[in-house]
Amino acid sequence: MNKRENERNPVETPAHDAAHDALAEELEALRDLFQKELDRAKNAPDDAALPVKDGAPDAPPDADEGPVCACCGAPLTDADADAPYCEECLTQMRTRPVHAAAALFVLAAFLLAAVGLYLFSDSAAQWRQLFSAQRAVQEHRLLDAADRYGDCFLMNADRDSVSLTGIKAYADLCRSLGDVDLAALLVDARFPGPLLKLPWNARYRALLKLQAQFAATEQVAIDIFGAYDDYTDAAVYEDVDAQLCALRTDDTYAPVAVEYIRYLLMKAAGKPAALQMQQLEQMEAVDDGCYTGYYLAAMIELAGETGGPDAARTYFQTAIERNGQDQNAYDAFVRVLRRQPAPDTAAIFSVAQAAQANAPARGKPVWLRLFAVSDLLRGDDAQALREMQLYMTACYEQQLSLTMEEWNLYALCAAAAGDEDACAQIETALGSAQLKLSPVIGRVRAGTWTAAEALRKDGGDIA
Amino acid sequence: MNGIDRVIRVLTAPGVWIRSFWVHLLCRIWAVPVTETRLFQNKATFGHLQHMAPPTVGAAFAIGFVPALLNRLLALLLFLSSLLGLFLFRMTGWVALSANTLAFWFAFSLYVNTYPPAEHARRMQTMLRGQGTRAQKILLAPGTFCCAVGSFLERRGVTFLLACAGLAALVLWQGALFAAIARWLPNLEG
Repeated sequence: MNKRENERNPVETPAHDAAHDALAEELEALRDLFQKELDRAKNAPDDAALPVKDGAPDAPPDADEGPVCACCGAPLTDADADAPYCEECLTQMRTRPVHAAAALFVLAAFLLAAVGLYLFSDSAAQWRQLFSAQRAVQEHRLLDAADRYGDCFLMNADRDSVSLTGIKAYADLCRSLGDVDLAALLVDARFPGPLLKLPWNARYRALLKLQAQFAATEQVAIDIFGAYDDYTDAAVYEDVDAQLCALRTDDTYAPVAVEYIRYLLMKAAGKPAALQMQQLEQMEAVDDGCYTGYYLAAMIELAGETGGPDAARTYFQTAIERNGQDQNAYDAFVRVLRRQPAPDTAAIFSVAQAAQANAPARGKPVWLRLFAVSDLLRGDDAQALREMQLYMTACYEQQLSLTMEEWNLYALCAAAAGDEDACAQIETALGSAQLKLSPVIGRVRAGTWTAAEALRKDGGDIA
Repeated sequence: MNGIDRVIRVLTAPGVWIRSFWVHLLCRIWAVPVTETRLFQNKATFGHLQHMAPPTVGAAFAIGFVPALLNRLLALLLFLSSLLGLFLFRMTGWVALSANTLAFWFAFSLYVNTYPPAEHARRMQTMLRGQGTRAQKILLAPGTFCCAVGSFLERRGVTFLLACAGLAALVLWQGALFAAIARWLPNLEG
């Protein structure tokens, strides 16, 4: 088929279906008209049937005029007689300008693509942090994940456009780390109001409510506790506990907070470990995973006291499976292990190693401290002191302030290693803040106790 | 054109018109006479550019296949940011939200208006069978086949339905997809 033949046969398109119907109707009408005219001509007188034009006796009839252009109606020449259009019309058709609106849509599409690419590149850093945080969550490195999310939202603190997926994920993470305050703050500040009202975002609305309830419970508890000084007195204990229990029925207060404060009361009253453990289990029962950080580490220690290292290990495993970087859990389990009559130094060392492997950077102060404890128990006091010196540097780098228990451990390492200068320096530093080392350290310096004894019978003075 | 096709084409008008733009551009390159350019008609020819048959097999293939390719590429470019921004990361803020929504509509429209009408696809096949050289038949057959199948699916709304289903899946399994990508990507911490 050559070019000319192709032009004679326009492509059949969907439009041709409709056009075909229209043409059929038109032909039908023409046929009727033609039939009427024919009938009329047959009935007319003979002289009127064949009109003859004056002065043009040889003019050809209309039927012999030949094909005309389907576009302009001009007669087709021999050159283009086999095409439906004349050459002029075909040329015009070949050079027809593109539809302006279609061209505008193409421009708009490219403009949108450019804007999209800009938005993509603009958000790429934020998305990278979100993917990185999500990966950390998958690997149970919750503190690393929290750091990533924190960086991400810090980076975009002044931006209008932040990722809702990221906000939700960060709120969920804060919730599972027990930081409901931060989760509520995040939801309140960054979650778009209209979206928060949607039914599938109910859990984020619930965070705000829980945070308010917890704060209200704490406030009431401060008032209740403030009325007394000594909670070891049975009558005082009963009265405070009864007041706290009364809060359970009020929707203004969080049941989980009530149970937690009751546990604190038991602790302050010096109730047996088994009772405290029972109370924490009660707290766990009313908590939906928001405040595990409040009770899991305490449960490890209480289980150690009541059931020994094996009982503590169960809770420790639970805590580590949830968050491999739960430093409180590592700390608590090592405390349980070291307070045994014959501490399992290999187990302590392996816990320290696990802490190091799970949080090499973020958990550096913790695992250095655990290694120091392990070294002290193995009798390598000089190495323990070196670990604690590195620990001080790590705390300085991470801008962490030391607790009194941590100062005591540092002093214990110095005393055990016989470094009196370091002990004196620690004493001077604490003295300037009117703080004193634990008497346990004095016993080790005097040679009454060994470092291992101090770690076993510290009474909670040493980290 | 059936009713479903017509509704889809009206809903995804940008894709229809942009496709017509590419077809017109290619018709001008191959000097194919364009008989009808009115795109905004509320009838069977909505958004459809009518032209005469292309002179050669190559031209017929280009006019049928290149717009499909260009629409797909443009759709991919627009999907890149809009799908991530709207459905994966769900970016807030009016600028990002409106730009992503508009880009998504364009991308979706381009995606579901890719292939030529069935008659064009058939014409491509006929021309290739009748006039194509052996090399042309080998090289152009896959593209021609794609056009024929794509056109068949597109005109019956299958492409549209598949795109809608993909979108619904993305919305439903957004969390799982996010987690899967995070697991699959190389470690981004640095």
